[in-house]
Amino acid sequence: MQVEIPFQSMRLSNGLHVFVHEDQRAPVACVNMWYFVGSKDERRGRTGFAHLFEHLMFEGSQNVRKGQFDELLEGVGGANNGSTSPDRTNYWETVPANALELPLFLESDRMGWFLETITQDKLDAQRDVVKNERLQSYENRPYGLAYETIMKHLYPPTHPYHWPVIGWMEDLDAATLQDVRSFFSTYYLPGNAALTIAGAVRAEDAFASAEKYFGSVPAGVKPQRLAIAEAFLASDVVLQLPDEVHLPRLYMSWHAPRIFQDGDAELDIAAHVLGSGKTARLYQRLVHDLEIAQDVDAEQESGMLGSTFGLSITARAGVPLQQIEAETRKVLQETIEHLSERELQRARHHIETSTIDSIQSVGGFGGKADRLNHYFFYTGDPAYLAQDLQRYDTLTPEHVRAELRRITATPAVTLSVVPHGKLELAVA
Amino acid sequence: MTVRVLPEIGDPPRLAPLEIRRHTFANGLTLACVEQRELPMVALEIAIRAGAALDDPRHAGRAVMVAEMLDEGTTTRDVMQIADEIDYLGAHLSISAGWDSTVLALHVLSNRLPPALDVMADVLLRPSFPQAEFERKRRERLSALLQDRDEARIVANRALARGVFGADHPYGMPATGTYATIQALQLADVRAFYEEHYRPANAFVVAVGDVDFQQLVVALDGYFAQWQGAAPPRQPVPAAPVPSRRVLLVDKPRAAQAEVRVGHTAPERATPDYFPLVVMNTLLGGAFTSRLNLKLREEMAVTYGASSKFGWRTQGGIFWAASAVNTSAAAAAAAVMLEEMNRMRTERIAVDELERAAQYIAYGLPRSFETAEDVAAHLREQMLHGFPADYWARYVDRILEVTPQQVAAVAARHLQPDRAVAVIVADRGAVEADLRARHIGEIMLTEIEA
Repeated sequence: MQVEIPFQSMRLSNGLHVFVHEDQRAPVACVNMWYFVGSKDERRGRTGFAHLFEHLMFEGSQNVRKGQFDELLEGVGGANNGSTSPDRTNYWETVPANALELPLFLESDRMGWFLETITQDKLDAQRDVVKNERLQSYENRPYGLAYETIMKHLYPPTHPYHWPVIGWMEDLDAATLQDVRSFFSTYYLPGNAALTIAGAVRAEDAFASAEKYFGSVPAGVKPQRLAIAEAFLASDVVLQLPDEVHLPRLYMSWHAPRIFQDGDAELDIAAHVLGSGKTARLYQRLVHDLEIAQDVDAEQESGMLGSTFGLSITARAGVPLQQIEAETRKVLQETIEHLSERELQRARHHIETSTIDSIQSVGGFGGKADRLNHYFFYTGDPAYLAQDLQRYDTLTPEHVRAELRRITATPAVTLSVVPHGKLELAVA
Repeated sequence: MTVRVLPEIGDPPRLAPLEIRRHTFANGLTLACVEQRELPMVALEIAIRAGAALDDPRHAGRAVMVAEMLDEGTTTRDVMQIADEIDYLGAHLSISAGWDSTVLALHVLSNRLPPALDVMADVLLRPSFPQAEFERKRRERLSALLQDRDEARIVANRALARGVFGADHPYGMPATGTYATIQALQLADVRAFYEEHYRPANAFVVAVGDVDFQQLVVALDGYFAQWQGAAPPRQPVPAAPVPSRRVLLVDKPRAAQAEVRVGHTAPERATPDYFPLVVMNTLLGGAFTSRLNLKLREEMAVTYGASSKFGWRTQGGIFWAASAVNTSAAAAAAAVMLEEMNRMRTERIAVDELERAAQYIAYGLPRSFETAEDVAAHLREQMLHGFPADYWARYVDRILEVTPQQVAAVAARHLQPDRAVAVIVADRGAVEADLRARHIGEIMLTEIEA
């Protein structure tokens, strides 16, 4: 696969990395900022900070009054958003090309002219919004608490992937203004960030604007990174979670190699082969042939400190998850014993399509600007896309089988989500 | 830089008009094509002008089932062969029925278009509707309907549609059907729908991306020349009932939050009031800085987000406000939605607020013309409603021309808080007392239906 995102780069004297990608196809420009801080940089008792902080970033800065951030961007026809993950926080704005300076102004203001504007009122208000977000996205969703339950057991309490990005409610309640301010000054620094500008821009103008708006942000002190011991499971963990659901669901999760390390690409392929589309192994056996499942999903969720290889199978009503587990393990074994060149090629073709898909857009999550920052953050090289895709080209079915065999031989977290009063459907 | 000031923003770029190449085939099938050769991607979509609006309530779910059955087998390929061929190409072929149309959407790298198109044409022209696969799909749908009861937001949307249109109107039933209608559905009904509506004179093709227009015409002619059939007679959707204001309280025991909806009927997509209504909706609930969102999220802090929307259809439509809120604020949220609807009808609208809303839509339009699928979706909308070739280029001007007076006028004409239906899906015990105390309207208590 041959895909690339050409770019130019420079570094400001305060440490901010700046990348610019020109694309004159559409009259839009985007600004994409990654801060190299995520929930993995939190500590126990103060979880949820990175995400809460992301919220606060939209509430105004020294030269932008509360509410004005969105007003200004919407007024020029722009869209914006941000997200927090365990590894990092990103923010993006996409605007008509003429309005590029606006997001640069806004982003720089909330990087360098922000600390003093964080107030108790803002903290309290966003804490409430985050609580509502938690209720809407997790507690009030069927199977909503499954993921955090799995992570809690896959990772020990001393490992930052143990807690969810949104954090625990009690920690959010305990957060003080001082805690929040110190989190900002520790991590929200130009040297701990990367800025990508992409779209209908000229590189020299974009770099000049970056210097103009960000140049005088103080460098600050580079944050220390805690060394985190690699996590592993000593033995299988089997859990049950009653929920407001009609259909039982089985989750099986294993520790897997970190993003871009050996084994990561193999497991992306394995996930495709097992769970993607009607031709996938798990779909064929459990949904189509046996009709004991409603849907199947397989993912290699790659992260900086470790990855999770996970399967999730929603059963038909009343089907015991012991049966789902048994059939799933059979399918896994069959895949470990034989995986065809055609299946591998099919997965490669999907990856190729979705990569080209994503580079149709300059902005947004997964667009070109986001990708450049993603590769820079995880590998130090924004041009890593070519190597990323190359990994899939060099794989053989034997590589994929071997990695799948290796990780599924290690202990797993098995979680059964079952309707209330139907604990007998759970794997015990 | 010691002084931080807002930058000057120049004039926004104009959205370049789409260069649309058109062709009408002998059998009445039409094609609209936009060549975009920079990336090797193609979005090819075939739309049949037939959707769930054609399902009488007894047959709710039929149009959707037809769509789902197309790729379950043809006269030359079985379901797994179809899936295998498409998947191996790294392509996506989705087939889905909405209210007004059914769309077969192919998304594929341009160098793999020919074999993918072969499968797509087969699926469209020669579905075999195998009985075994139909029964399997029925079981799958019944299971999905069970699962839908777990999702408060799906329950709320369905209850709203039922409340606004009634169970005797096609729009009052879920497009995917109910437990009862799916159990009763016959394969003969599915086949009959296909035969009556899936005809070339009742369909059009939209192609965007790395395609050569002339080559595509030749290829489509090759596949579709034998496809015959006039468009069936137009089937009007019955008039919607006119309810008085009431509240449906749907009990979802132990629900962690409340899903709140307030809605009523709306004009059709072709309404002359469209542009002022789009601006009005942006002000009311169509942007982060909209009145509903700022009030419920930023001011009252009872939700992660609140919005309002028009469900535009070729015949009639629906308007609604929506939010997932703290259970204790459910009744208050419904009251706020009604208040804001009233306010929009009665209060003078500030020019700067209006300008910001209009600019958000107008200047934001180019963002939605980046990908092949996005352009295809716009082109499809244009074709479905028979809009002129320069529709999207003119869209920006027409939005910017909207005045505060026009917004107030369409709000008065089309927002109907006195005839709205409010829906709250929540733990009944936690909401009922507060709801009764507010006297929003007659309260009807219901359970979740399949």
